Amino acid sequence: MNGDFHYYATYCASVIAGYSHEEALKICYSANLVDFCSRTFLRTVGGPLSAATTQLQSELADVRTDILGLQDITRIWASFHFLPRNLNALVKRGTRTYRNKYRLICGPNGELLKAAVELAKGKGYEAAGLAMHILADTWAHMYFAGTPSLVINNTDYNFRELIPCESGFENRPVVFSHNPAAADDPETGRYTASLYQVSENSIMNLGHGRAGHLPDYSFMRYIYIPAWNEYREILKDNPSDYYHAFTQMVYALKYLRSEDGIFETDIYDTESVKPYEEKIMDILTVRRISSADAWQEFGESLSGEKIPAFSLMNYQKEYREAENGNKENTCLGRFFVAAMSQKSMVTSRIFSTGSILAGRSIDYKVEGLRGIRDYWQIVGEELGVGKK
Amino acid sequence: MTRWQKIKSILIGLFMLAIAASLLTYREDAYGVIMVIFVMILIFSGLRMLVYYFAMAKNMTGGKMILYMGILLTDLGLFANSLVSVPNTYILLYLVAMLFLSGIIDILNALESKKIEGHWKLRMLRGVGSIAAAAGCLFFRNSPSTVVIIYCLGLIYNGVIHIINGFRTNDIIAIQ
Repeated sequence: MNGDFHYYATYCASVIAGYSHEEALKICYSANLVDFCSRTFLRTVGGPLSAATTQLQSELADVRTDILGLQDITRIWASFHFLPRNLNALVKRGTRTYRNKYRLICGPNGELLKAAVELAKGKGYEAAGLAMHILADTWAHMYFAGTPSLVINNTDYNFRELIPCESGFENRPVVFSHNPAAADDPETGRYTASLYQVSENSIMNLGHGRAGHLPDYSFMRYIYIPAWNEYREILKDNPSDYYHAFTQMVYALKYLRSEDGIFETDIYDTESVKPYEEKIMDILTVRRISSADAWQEFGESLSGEKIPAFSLMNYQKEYREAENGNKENTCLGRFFVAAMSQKSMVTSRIFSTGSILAGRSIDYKVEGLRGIRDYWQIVGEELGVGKK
Repeated sequence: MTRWQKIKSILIGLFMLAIAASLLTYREDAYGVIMVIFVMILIFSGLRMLVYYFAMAKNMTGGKMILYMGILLTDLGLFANSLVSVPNTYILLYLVAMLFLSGIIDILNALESKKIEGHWKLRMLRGVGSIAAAAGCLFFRNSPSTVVIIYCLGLIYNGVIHIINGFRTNDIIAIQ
């Protein structure tokens, strides 16, 4: 998903869920920050490097794909952008490594999504925004895994786009180029995708790189054969998936706002969104790279307030000027803690299935305060011990 | 990393340092050793690809390609092994290309970091350094000894990283 959805659509969902303009701005800022909170950004603001929620292209180009590098990549991408749908999926073929990778395939309404949303409850708007990013991406990034893997994430030349026409849908082959400087062109059907690399752990095989940005465009409907699906085709209907994501965000945000209640998967607040359905589907189906302007206009009509453009500079001063020990009470501080909690939770769940693809997880209650020092902070937050 | 992976990482690091030390000792005569390393890499890569095919890639759409490449690489390795010597130029070109690419990546990384007011000078310096080293390799192409030194620097760097990785704390703490 792109910034238009993570920022403006999340704002709209927040307002429909009953949040004020100021609250909605904090939520959508955090939702969008997930795509920018790289180690480079964290070094700039002086934040904990373990709170990284993304990796820049240049960081990925430089990344080591040894076991530690792969675990770091998987922790980041599986926790925030490709949340696994079923960590206990029954896989009858391949080795244990294959099974572990297969289980990281992203999808909506998994147990981990429930855990992620519940983890954000009572942790502030920043944690709510972070959870909304994860939720929305489970729809957009469905069928890809947040770990470099040729056998899971590869696609082949058989890629067709479904373009609406008078008689229904017209099939058009997608042409992929590998020039990172070339812009995607929905008119001609030429898109950029990562190169085919035979290496299983090549960074080119991370997430939906092999399918380019097709999963990120709300208007896209396409048919392709994923590497893991035993030569069976898959139809990806982004407008429908994005609408599901939106209505589920409204439901989840209402849950996070309530004093109690429970969050269940596969429930969508279609009732609250119904009055805006036509408008939202219009925005989702227009063939353009970014729908930011349309979402912004819709958001402003909902709240009657001006929505400022996303800026990475927001809240930096507050964090930098806060004294040590008080940084966790700033907007960025709360975001970093929420990010590390999410990463810790996902790593722990993956590790509990016998996979070390995201690293090893140790239980504080059994082994005490050990492991990467940055994470001691979340133990401190939960139990009032460790680094504060 | 598991305990075994940590031990493996340290051993690989020590092995790389040992190779670098022997190459630095033999200098001009080391091209033969580098060639043996290349042959080993080719055969090892081919066999690894075959194992990869049978373990994982046979379950993948279009996985047969991996099988063919595995056979081809192993065959190439065996063929290279049968050659008495390979022109030094090819080895040199390989080294230069690797250095040049890593330099470009460092510079791009530095520029991206600069854009968001991050730290960039050290990385830029490293990028420029790598490109300068690549240019140096080309300039000293008639001095095999210099090229061996540059190759060894790469080996030492990788070896040290492997050893550091072996000692790094990488467990994530969780409250379950």
